[in-house]
Amino acid sequence: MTNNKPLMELSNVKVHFPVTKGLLRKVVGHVRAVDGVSFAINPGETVGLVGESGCGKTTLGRAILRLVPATDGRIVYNRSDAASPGKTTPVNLLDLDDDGLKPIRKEISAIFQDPYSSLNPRMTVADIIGEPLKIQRYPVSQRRDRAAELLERVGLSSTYMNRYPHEFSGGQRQRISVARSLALNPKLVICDEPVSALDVSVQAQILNLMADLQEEFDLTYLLVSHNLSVVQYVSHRIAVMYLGKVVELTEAKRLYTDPLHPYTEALLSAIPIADTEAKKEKIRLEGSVPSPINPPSGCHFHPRCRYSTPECAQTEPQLQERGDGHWVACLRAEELDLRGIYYQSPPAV
Amino acid sequence: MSTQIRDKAESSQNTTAKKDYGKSYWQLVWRKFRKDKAAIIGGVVLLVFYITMVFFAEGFAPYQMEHKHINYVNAPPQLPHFVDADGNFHLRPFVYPYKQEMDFATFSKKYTRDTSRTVPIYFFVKGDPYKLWGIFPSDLHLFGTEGDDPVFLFGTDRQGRDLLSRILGGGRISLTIGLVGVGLSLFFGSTLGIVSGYYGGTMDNIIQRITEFLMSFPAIPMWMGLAAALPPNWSSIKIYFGITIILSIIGWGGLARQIRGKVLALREEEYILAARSMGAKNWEIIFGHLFPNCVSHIIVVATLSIPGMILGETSLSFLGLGIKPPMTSWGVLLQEGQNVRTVVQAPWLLIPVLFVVVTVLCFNFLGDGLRDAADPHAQM
Amino acid sequence: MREFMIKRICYLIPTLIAISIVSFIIINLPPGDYLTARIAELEMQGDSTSKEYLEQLTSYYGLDKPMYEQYIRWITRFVQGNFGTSFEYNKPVKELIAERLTLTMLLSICTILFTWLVAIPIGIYSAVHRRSVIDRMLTFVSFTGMATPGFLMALVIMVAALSLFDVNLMGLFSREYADAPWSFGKVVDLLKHMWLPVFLIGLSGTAGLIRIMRANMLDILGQQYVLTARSKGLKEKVVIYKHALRIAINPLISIAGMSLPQIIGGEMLTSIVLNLPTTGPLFYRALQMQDMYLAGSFLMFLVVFLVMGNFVADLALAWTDPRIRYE
Repeated sequence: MTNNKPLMELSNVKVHFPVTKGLLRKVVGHVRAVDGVSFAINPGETVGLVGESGCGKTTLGRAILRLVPATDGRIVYNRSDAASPGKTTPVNLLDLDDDGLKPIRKEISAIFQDPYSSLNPRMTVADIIGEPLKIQRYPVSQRRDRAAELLERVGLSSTYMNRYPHEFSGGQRQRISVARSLALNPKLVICDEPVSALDVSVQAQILNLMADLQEEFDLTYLLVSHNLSVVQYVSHRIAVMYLGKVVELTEAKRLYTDPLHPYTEALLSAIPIADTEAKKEKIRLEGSVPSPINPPSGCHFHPRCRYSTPECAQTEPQLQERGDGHWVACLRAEELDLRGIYYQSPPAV
Repeated sequence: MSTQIRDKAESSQNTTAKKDYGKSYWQLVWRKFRKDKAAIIGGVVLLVFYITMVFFAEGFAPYQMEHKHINYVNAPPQLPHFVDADGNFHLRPFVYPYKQEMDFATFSKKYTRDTSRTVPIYFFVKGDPYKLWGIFPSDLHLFGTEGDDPVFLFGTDRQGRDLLSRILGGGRISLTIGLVGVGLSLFFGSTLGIVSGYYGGTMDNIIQRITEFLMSFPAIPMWMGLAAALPPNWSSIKIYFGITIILSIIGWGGLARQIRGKVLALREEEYILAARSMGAKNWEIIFGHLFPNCVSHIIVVATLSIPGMILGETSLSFLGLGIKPPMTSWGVLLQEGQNVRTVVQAPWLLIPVLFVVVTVLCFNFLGDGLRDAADPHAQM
Repeated sequence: MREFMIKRICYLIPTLIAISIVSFIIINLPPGDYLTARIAELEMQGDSTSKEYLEQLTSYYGLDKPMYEQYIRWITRFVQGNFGTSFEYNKPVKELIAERLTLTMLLSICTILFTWLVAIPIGIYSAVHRRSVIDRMLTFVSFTGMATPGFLMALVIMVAALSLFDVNLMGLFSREYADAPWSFGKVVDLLKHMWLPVFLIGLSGTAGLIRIMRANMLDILGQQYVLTARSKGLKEKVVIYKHALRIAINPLISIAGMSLPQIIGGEMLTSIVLNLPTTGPLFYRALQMQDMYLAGSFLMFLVVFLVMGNFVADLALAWTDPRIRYE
């Protein structure tokens, strides 16, 4: 990672869905699922993307994969040149058509949430893992060899090749998903809640596997999750999303020990801790997430924020850098002294 | 390697029984289907029907369909016997020949059994010549008699034609019209259903409205109206396809609706998203993911909609609006029964009803069994 | 609710227009229809009175005008209540249809009632006594019923009655009432004759509904709130009739709307076999004679009747089940 250029840069990405009403399907408003998100993902790192359900984190992941159309902004992927190492060519994914996207699809893959619905029940494991190669028109024999190799690599036996998804447990299925995402040797893997459908005991196994693979294959992850403990376990940097916007973005450790946004503080206080000595106050967020069709004025978080001032209802805070790589979108970020939690560094893998 | 250990720990959580290993979806479906006796019986009966009627009707029938036995008009059915009037057992089945008398009150023939003689039934006899599949000339029949006495297991009609032979020959039309009709509506129904469900939007809206519209039509009056509009001077084969098309015009709506529902559900599955994220084209997703997952559903819906088509053809031909003689279907045979007086004289002319009912029943059993088996993991 | 109704009505209008076009196409499809035959016949005669009549016909139906103008002419008259003339009977279609349509509707409604009254109790019984001997028997009987088309059953029953008991089951009225004006006696006579057609028309529908009711009921008896009701110690009867039944019956309302086309079709065939004075035989005869204006108007009538039935069923469903409204 001598290259100091980020692998992917998001700038002002917006995904709006029209809301229609009545017989004539008149557009009466927009769901601002993602509303101006900008950050960068560096090669080899894991960026965690956390937030409550409905905050737009999954939509952002899907917009990067071009599964939902982005309304505005740029998603620039810095493609490294095979011929001359170290050199990269920036491509805006949103400018490309299906054919132009095809070679990039080799380098960006995805792991989905539900291991039961993400594997086609009519296909054998070999076919599932080989599907990305099939789409890129690799010959059958190569597909099968690669599937066998990857099965072993994710901790399953290659004798499972001809079995069907229903013969596996949730954890095993997610391993198959991981294997599929690695089929084409991608650079970036978008992981959409990869472990939230699994038993807690299995979650750690899958996260460990992902960390192993990251090291081995120089992978970069964008890890979308609602679960801060999961994100903490593997992320280098974490972005917190609220109502379609990133409200805080910094190194994992900084976020936990020294949060700058009240929303982050509230989220952190909700993490259960086994240590009974460490007393902590739980911050209860009043009400529920407001509608993304009609977000509150000013700071979107102000109706639920316990530090809010009248000004917060007026002015919308911008994501600004406060100190080394610590970005936050809060008007009172300077003055507030928010509480973090004890940061448990991830076990060495 | 640590992952190996993890794997072991995990496989103990695996709830699926060992015997399932390596079984494809279709193998599981078959395993479940096999346990459904009614469905198996339905399937076997249908298989027998299709083989004897559609493929080898001429060979299984003792006579040619149009062979008029002018001396045996309106003859009642004969029962095959093994034990004769004297109590002797015969390994070879036989029938008693007809004895005819004139009833001068009604001026019609009266048939009685002549138990003094027996007419043995022989298998694989030479009889009326025919061309198998219109190509191979043959005169071999599964069974028949030798000599002048005929055998009419189901009796004859008022032109002296053997009803059994006519039922077997008529079955060819009745049974295939259902299949061809369903084939046609399947083609339209599944194409439009998949398009409607997968692409959504305006396309979906239009297709939805059309199917809704089709389904609000009463099928039978519609069929009658359209069938009556077929030009009377058309050839039999044109009429056959005309009727088939008419039957499927209304049939595809329901099918498209059901398949659309299935596709809508499938579209949300993450493996479809995954395939799209890999850059799969729409046709790759439709043929690689949607279609294979819909096939079982399509087969079930098709099986269950064949009876409607068969009954439609029967009703139309029965009313004289569908298949017309000399082409023969079960409905055409029943058309003779429209005259109640005739049927009171010769109630065996209603035997085709039995064939219609059994066929429809078997399709229903088969379809029901397939529907249950199509979801092999559900507990019934 | 109001928005739902408006939406439904908005769907209704294009549907009706489409139906009218289909009906008109059917009127005009046959190449050798009655009208052309009649015109040819008149031309053959060639005298002045028939020429006048010919011109009258041509201008009335706009036969010299393009197709769409003929259609507009026909549909305008239809909406105004002028349904054309039957060439065969030489009477206005309206007169021919009125009484027969009433009897058809009466038969259809009685059939639906019969279907429900028989199928719902049997379905419940079957579901509650699942896998009992009686349930298995009922299942087999209902499967056979589903496979037996009413008109074939009618044929068999009629022949059996005639040859075994010498009873003629044809018609809806006894001979002495057939052409008599309506009286109390005639109504009683009608009811006496009606059970058989109702049974025959309703046969397969009833059998189908038994299966649906049984499945619905089984589905709901397995739900958690039924378990809750049981765990509260409620009597099984209360659980079944107060908790489960209400919800199991709900989907049947939409089925009633959808089954109307089938009942009309079944009614038509059975009426033809039993020669009932309903619309079926008239329509059939019109088709046979290629009396297309009668047949077309008739088809249009039936479908409008059905679409309205569906509309009412939809509204009823929306009224009982608020989820539908917000679909």
